Amino acid sequence: MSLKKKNPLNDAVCYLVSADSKLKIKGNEALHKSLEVIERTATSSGLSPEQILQLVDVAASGKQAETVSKKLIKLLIPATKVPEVAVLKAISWICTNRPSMTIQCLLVRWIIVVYDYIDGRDRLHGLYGLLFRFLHFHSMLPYMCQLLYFLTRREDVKLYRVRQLLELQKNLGSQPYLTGLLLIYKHYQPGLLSVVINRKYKSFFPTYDRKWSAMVRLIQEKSNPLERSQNDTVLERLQPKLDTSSMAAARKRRKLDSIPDIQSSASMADFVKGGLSKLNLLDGTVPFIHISTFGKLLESIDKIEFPNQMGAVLKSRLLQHVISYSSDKVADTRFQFWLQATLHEVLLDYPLENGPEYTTRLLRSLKSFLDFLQEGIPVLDAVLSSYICQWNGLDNRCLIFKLLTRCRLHQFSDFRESILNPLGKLFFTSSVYFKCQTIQALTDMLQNQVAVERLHHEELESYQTSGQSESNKNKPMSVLFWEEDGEEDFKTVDFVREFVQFVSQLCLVALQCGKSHPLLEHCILNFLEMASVLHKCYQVPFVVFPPASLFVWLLFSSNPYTVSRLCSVISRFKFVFQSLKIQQSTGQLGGRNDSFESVTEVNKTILCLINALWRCKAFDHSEETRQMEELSFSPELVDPRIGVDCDAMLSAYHHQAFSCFTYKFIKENTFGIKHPTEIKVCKREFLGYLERHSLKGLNEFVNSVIIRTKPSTTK
Amino acid sequence: MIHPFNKKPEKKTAILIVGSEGVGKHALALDMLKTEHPFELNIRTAGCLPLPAEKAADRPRLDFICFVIDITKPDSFKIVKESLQHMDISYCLGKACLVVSKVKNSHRSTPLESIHDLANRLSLQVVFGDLEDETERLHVARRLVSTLHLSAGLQCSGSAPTLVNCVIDFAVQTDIHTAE
Repeated sequence: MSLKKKNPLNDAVCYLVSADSKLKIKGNEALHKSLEVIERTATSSGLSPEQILQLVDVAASGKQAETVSKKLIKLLIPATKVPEVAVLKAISWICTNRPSMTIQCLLVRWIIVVYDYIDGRDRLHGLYGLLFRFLHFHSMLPYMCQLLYFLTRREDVKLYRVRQLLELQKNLGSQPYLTGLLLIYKHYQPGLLSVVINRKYKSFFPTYDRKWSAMVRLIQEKSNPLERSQNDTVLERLQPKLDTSSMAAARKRRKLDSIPDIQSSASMADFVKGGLSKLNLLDGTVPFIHISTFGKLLESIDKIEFPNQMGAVLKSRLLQHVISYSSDKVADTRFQFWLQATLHEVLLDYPLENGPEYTTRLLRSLKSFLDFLQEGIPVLDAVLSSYICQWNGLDNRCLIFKLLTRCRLHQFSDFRESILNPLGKLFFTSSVYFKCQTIQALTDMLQNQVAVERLHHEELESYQTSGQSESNKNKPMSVLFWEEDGEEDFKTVDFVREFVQFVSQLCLVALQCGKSHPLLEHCILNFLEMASVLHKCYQVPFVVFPPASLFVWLLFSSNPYTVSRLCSVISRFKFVFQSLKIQQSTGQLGGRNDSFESVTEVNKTILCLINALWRCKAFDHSEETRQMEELSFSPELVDPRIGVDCDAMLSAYHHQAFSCFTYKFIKENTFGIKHPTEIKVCKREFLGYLERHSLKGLNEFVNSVIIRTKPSTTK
Repeated sequence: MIHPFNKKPEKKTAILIVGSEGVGKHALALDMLKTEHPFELNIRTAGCLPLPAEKAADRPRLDFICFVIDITKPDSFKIVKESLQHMDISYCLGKACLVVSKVKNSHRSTPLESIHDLANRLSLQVVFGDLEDETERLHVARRLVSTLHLSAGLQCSGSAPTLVNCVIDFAVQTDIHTAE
């Protein structure tokens, strides 16, 4: 019937299928023509399931010349889906050993590439034991490992298989693909494997055909039209449909974003046949596809089986709930594997092919997942650190900064190497707005790491030191992504101290190049405020004091609000040190007193600021302030014609930032003052005047310092 | 051999853009002129270095050299690598940079590692951005102009060595600071 339509593609397929013996290649016009037709269709719209079924036989049988078979396998690009029978056929051809080794390998690679599009996997999974035997062929090993990695279920992990894998590892040395397979085994049955698995590999399956699979995906998107009802709920998809178009419909979403939909034809069929109750009796688990409401989730909270498409976590809030409470290591490893592969493809390998909207959509849902989870994902940090090295500082800027904020705690030297230094390189040559965004992001990062990640880190640390034997009792509950022996050993204090130092350095350079931009000063003060409230708001048992030079630099600002906020920040630091001192004296700090090393510097900074702003002794070189290098210049250098006492130049009423307020204060003339210098007699009133104009910081600072120190200084 | 200090400084700042044909040097130059710059800007382009010797006298002092690499073209990186040999080493003190174009293209002929390696060895700053895309090109142009502003010595707050210190050796610098 297809012949009647004069479809050249069908003709070509028929021609290849009907060929009984080996076709001549040289000068065989018909063969070349039919291959060409197939290539054109396959690379433009993909092949239908029936055609794939027919062509698998031709390509895998080894009847035709090797080049023809190879080309045909490469062209087996599905338009909608791949029938499971076709995959089974390919495997049975491999078993006959008739096709050459290269063709066999290529067939396995093809199965991996189209794995997501196979319409059922249960029968394929039935061949697990058989596929495992193929690990003995060395040339097929990397591919077979990946296929088994996809197929492995808990019941497949058997002691004899573990032994064989370890034997292989002994013979071949440590290989990424073997490690990948062993890792999934270890997650399913930790009792069977006692070996420590090396996690140094960036990717377990470097042999994965990225280009080929990108091509397959492209065709899938092309051949499936865009329109699809968005409000298609899980229940609707569960409705038994006679035709298979529901599966195809699910695929259509791929055009819109890279996050897969949940689908499972096996469980759908079971559902149609026997309903939920029968399924429960069979193996005690409920496939996630049957969970449609939060109520149902609660009913079967301990029996939910994760779907095949782990990436769907990013899209389904219900699944996010499931993954956040489950302690299933397999689920989170699978999710991380998916995330790494997808992000690599979208951000690093094929950004142009995927298009900007696609990337933005993925990053946005990732961000909302992270907000939900309140935890960083290690794989994400790794991908971001490579991405940031080639980032133009423009694409998805807000989202990238938001994702960076959610970084986990790392050893600071590694963290600086991978994230902060590349960010710094972008920072210095970018516009002032980029600088502001960076500093804001680093402020949020500091908050996240102290408020959220610090607790995770401490929990993991205590878990690791408590010993592995009774580990099942107090597994880290609040952390989802963690590894046995995978945590680095470092203290949060050291991280925060070095982080604050680093950001302060960035701020200093930004101030130096940015000519005191008000927005920049605002962001820097936000950071300083965050550093000062860490103890009060997040109960951190330490305080980190930023370099004094930053304070002094901000003192010279011409913005009144900057100077005022600077004063409140420094008085806040003073209170933190005082309360820490009290806590230490009552023994609440547990003998930790690293913070007090900076106490002299804090005192010096306070003295320096109060001297400049209040006591008209800005350049006074007394014992205590001698080391404040920033302010030590000799007043003799100043031109005497200025006519103002140099030491008083930075006092509140002479300060450039407050000059407009000084002017207004004199204008209002409540004290009969004619010149700013005369404000000296009513300094307190001037501070009150400033406070009425929402410049509270100065008054706060002076009150906190002067009243308490006065008795001691007069003594 | 071109040298940043063998001629008297002029009022105009001069920047030289070096890169193989078709990488978008002229479009970039036009965008740089379009962006706001508080100084006089003189832009020259060249396919490769060395520049012809006979016109050396008419040429202004070159304050900054910007090498453009198209990551999809194998020649582009080679030309830049060879051109770098005809530039005085003092340009590496914050007076030169690499612009890497089309990094989002998957058909890369030059691995990113070799570009990063070259940049690290010569302390060059690397700017990424597709010069064929209008917004990205403008973004690159803005960053170049602000870099030039600093490294030509027109800002009282810093100079070319500041740039090197910040961009390249920042990590080292903070190490010293904390060690003290």
